[in-house]
Amino acid sequence: MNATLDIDLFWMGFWLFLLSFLLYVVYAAVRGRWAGLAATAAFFAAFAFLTAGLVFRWTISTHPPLSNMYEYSITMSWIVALFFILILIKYRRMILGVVVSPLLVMVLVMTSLLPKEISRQLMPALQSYWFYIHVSLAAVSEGAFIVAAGGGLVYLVRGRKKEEEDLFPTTDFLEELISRSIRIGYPLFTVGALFAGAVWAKSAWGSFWSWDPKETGSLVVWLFYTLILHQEIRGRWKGKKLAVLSLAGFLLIIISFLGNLFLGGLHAYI
Amino acid sequence: MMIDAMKNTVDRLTSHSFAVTIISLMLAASAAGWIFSELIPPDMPHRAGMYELKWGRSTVRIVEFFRLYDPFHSFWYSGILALFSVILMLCLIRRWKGLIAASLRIDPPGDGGDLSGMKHRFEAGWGEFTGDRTHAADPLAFFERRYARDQILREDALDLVFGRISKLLGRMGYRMASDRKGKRIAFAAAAGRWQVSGGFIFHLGLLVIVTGGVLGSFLGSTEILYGRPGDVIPLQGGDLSLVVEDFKILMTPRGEVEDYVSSLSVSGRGGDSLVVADIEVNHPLTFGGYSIYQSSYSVDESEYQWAVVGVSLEGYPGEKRVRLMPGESAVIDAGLTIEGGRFIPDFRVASSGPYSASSSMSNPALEVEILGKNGPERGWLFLHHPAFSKRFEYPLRLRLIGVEPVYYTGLQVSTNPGAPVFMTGLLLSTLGLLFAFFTDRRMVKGVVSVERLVIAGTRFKRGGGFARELERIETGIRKELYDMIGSSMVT
Repeated sequence: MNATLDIDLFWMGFWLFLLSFLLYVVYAAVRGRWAGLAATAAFFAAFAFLTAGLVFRWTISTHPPLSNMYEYSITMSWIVALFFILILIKYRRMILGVVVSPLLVMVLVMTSLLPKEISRQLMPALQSYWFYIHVSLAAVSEGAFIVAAGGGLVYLVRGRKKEEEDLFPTTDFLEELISRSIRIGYPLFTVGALFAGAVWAKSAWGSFWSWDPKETGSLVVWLFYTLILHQEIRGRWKGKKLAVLSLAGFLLIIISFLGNLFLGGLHAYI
Repeated sequence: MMIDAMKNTVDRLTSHSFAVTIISLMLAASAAGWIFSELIPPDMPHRAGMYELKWGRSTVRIVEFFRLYDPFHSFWYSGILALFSVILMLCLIRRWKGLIAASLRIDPPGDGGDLSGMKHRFEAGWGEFTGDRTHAADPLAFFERRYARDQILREDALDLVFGRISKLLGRMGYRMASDRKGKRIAFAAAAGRWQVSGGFIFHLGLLVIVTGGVLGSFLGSTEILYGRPGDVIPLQGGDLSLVVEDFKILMTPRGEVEDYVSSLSVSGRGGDSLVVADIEVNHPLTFGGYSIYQSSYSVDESEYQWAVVGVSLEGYPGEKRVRLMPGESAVIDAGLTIEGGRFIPDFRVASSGPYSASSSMSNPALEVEILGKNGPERGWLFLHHPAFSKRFEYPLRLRLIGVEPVYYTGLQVSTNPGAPVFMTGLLLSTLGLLFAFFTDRRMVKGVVSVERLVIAGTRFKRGGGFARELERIETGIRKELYDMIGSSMVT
């Protein structure tokens, strides 16, 4: 098996996601159904390539593709794409592609800049079943937050267009999407990223919490979404405010993720 | 008046708006600490003079006062964390009764019947449940049922009818409470009630986590110990000692590190071995209140186990490999011997001479001495940079092929009395989250009277409608009661 096949598949998936994003933009502009179908077809094809790339990488490395930043962000991108497919199946509205594809492309651009070498041997610190639990739940939860941010982006882009005449989802729908995505991501992030991470840190490093940059960044992300949920319960931070905050949350996640590259610490796996 | 003032203060401190304020404060403090901890190195206090020249005296004083080089152990962060914990505790004390009661207690609607304001409801007269259902297609029967005088259910049939409704709702996962008054039974049925207390349990878990963390922080201890095979290391605060039996770095055939394994035994005061174990990363040894982790390793900065040197003699083809043991010489050729001398794992040169910059094998170098008829000649050989190895006057070229250092295992020995408390907090919080986010709380209220049946319901979930659920309930009730209510039960 060609050791770089997974990288070739990543690039094919990347260009197809980029193409689908551009076609979704065309669809939003000209309202032509052909553009929507082409965009969705490109999206599905990209998802297939990304899936194949992940499977190959898993096979070659003999461990789940979660052991470094490149693998983590590819997996997270795959989860975001999967969320979109599920949303598409449920609501059957192709225009929802504009919700997910811009941020997905952004994450993939970042991924493309990361070192892509495969390590067949998991480093000793990662040889634990908590590796699978902690990292996969963190990826799924951050994927949900990215879907929320996508909803926020479309909410802001759509502006004050008349609800009933528009191809775009309604503001109510988008607000519901943002809220539900956060409510899916929050418990998974709490249990997966924070709790499971703490238990694993105890068995690997002897301490539940070390104020490592990644741990502190995750705490900041968690407190941010905690604040959003508390304000939602009070009936505050709805509509446009919620949309802006969902994008701010996405920014925090990216900073926390990229912090590894610059800040080092116990999580500095590249 | 004092009590009123205190009550008002507590009300304000335990309000949702104050909770938002506290969370915002924690968020800002954590973000600030995150930034400062990365901008300011933790060893800043030890090099204050250098930083004063760089930043100025007043800046350094501010940094030291607020402990910005270690913000998460500073007074201001600890204070905010303490405030957060106190407010959390007050909220839990104030709300626990109401939340637990809401989970356990189900209140049927009162005499006024608080169903009129509920969005999802259906009502039916008893006439709708009598007669052949095929008459539903008969327009005369339809208008008769709709506009004629309602049929009255016999009082003694009331319990029977309610029993059927109760069983149906029970099968759908609802728990019932009812109140019969004369010709009327009011009931309430709830499903997913634990959602209410999910938030409480989650917050309680957070408080327990913080408590466990504080206990561990104040009462726990950590030390890093290094030892080589054969070393006996006494443990702090007790009569136990750690004996390093062996330390291995396991490598894959491709030369990647697979694992670090330390073979240890813990001995008591009399030197008796109490426990023997191999520890690896992620697999610590827990014994006698201590947890012993495979934390790191280092190499001795002067000793080595063996070295292999490649020797190429002028006029002879190929390279001969010579194994050197510390303090022993080896014969290269007739009248020519080589002996290994000093070993430095991370070679650097200062004005005082060569030294090791660290205990990692970053730039291994071995000093060798060649002894021949012209006398001894010394020089350094570099494993990673052979071009810089000494060129000897003797007609030979030497190349350092390999050197095995003496490894020290790095063990982290910790005690943490707060660990069980912390873990309990994690479990509680996880349970609370499951209840709060993944439980579908619904409430159905109804009145079964001799005149008619009224049922209403609601779902306590953002965006969660009850229409479909109510349809299922209505369909189920109609099916149950059609089969049951005959003309003998109504007048």
